[in-house]
Amino acid sequence: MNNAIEIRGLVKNYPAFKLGPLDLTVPRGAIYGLIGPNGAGKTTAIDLIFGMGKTDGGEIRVLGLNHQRAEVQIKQRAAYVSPDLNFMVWGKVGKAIRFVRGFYPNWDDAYCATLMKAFGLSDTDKIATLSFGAKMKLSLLLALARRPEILILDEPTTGLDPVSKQQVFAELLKAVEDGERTVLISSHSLSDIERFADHVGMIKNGKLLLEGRMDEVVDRFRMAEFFSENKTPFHNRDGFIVLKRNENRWHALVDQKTSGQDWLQTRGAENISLTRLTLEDLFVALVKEEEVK
Amino acid sequence: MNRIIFNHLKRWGWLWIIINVANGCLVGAMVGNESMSKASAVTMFSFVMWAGAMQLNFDLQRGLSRVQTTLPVTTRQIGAAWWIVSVALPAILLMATAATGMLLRSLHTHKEFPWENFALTAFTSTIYLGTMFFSFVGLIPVFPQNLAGWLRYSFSMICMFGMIFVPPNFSTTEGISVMLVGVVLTLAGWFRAEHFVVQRATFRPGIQLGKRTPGQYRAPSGFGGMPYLIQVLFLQFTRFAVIFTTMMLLLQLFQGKTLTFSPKQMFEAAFPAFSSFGVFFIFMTLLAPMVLQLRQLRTLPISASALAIFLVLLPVAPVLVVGIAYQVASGNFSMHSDFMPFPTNCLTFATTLALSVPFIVWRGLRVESLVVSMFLMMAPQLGPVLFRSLVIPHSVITLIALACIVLAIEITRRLLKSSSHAYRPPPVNMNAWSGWSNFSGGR
Repeated sequence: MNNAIEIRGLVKNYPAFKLGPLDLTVPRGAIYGLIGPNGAGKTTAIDLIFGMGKTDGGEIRVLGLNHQRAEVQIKQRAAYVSPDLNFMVWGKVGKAIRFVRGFYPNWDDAYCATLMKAFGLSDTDKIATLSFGAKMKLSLLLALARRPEILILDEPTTGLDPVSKQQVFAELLKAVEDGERTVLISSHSLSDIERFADHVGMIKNGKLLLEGRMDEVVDRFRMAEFFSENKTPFHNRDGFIVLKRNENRWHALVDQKTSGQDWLQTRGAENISLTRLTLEDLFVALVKEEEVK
Repeated sequence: MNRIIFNHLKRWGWLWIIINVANGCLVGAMVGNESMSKASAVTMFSFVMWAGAMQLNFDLQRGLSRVQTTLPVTTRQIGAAWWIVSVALPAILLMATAATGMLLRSLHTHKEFPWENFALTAFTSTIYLGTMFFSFVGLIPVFPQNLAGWLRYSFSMICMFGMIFVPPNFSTTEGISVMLVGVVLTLAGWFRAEHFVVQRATFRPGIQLGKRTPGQYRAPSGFGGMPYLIQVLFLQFTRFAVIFTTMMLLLQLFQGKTLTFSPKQMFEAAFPAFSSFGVFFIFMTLLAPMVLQLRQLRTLPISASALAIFLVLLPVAPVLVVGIAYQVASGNFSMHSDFMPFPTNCLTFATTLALSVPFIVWRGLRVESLVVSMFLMMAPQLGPVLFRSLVIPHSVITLIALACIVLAIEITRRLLKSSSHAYRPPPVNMNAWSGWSNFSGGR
């Protein structure tokens, strides 16, 4: 079994939203970035992985286990981090740690203490008065100290200042350096995802737009800048997405796996220059195209 | 200012209709009915409470004050609007519905309109609304950090709940003194409303932080997990129960009774905590902390079935334990509520609490689930009065109660599994400045 998470034909219907059918594969040991605009279905998909909600179709397997039948075993081996988690009722940081610690036999007290120091969280700190970023750090601490095989992070950098963000990513990288742990991270911070993740999945309106190794996905597309005297405008087609036009000057997204570039030349495009895209450029282009559709 | 008032009416109209219809029916039924009157006094206070500042407080938890202070109106106007929608308008409506209920009752029984009763009811509800506004809106909803804060907090709590136990009365000294306090607080609420607006709009939990206690960067030791959770909740519940019982004993002393500290007297003092105030008492100490961390609990290795059993039994168990403890302590069923033995009363009350759990899991700590729970809690109080001709053996009541508890567990289990929507916090709370479901730290 080489995959940590396998999602096949997952469907979840809400009155105003439908997730799927969704297929998603997170290889074991990978750092997988799940990206998508607000309301794309990222949190819904993550919730379903954790058994929070009933699927209307399809199957989810986590570490080879069925997510519904083996709910408790999966939660023993996986951890979830999100700004939605509320620890305030525990009053103090120490109490929240003590509560969560009791569920995990593999809990690492020494590592927990190291993280407390790194994140500046002492046992007597009042949770209600912690900043948003500090609450996120607490959530991450509680997840990391249990030494999970799978770490699922839903918007972990929301509300974090650049220094805190760097701290969080540094700790995450340390946690996965043995290559045995899998991380599924959902975020809007695409530059972080591009730097940190080795796999990426892009989701929009509950459907997966593309998935694969980060370098392959980013390398597959190019920004094409060209000129054309041709009066017939260029239209979107398979592997070719027009981004903007300024009189004779055009910008388009070209999928190198298709014949989009050759097609450009046959249509009379001149001075074609291809540049590498960032994940953010690619994301914006693909999401915009999906909206046009 | 008018727009603020109309906006409030538009959003809360549905609750005003429910409360006022219920108030009219209840007041009508109470007139000239001695036992009904006794059982319904607390219920009436519950209606009044939901008609006023409680609604505003829900809005404030969702960040209303910060939104309103950015509008082109003065803080004085906002404060006045708050006072009008929380005190003046509800008071007029409650008076109107109470008068309608009494009038219909008088016409039905061919008796004279009970003017004195009406005056007392109208006056009581008005000053209670005023007191609620002063205490609820004027109180920053975090636990106090210093002595002055504690004194203010205690004073507000005593004003709010004290009036329920010592209702205003034209003929007794205690009744008149309560009335005077109520009038002062109602008027003070009007004059302090502007200050409340500023206080609420500028509030940050971080500002409340006193001196930071030097802590340790060391993982805490000792057992954790569910046993720890149960221990914490048990201690919290016991603390509240002790405070409540002490307050009730002091109240008895205030009313001229002699304190004997007998089990009977202690149970009599503690009983209101397990009946009329179940909504607040059990909610605040046991259920609310659970619902707030439900999402987190669902990510921990606990099955939905185990969690459902835990959630339902959490409020049920202490009530049943108190019922059994009473039976053991007294050795008989001698202490009755008005209509049934104390342990059976505890069981029926525990059942209503159990039935409210699925609502809370389904809708969260939203106003609709709290209102449904409030009506459920009233059932053991009003049911025996309304259906007193119906004789049901206690064994049947016990069986029905147990069946309801099992049903509540099954529904809760299904709800926990079916959708995460119920325990996903609404995005609006991310911008809220305070309250149970606050996520914004802002230090």
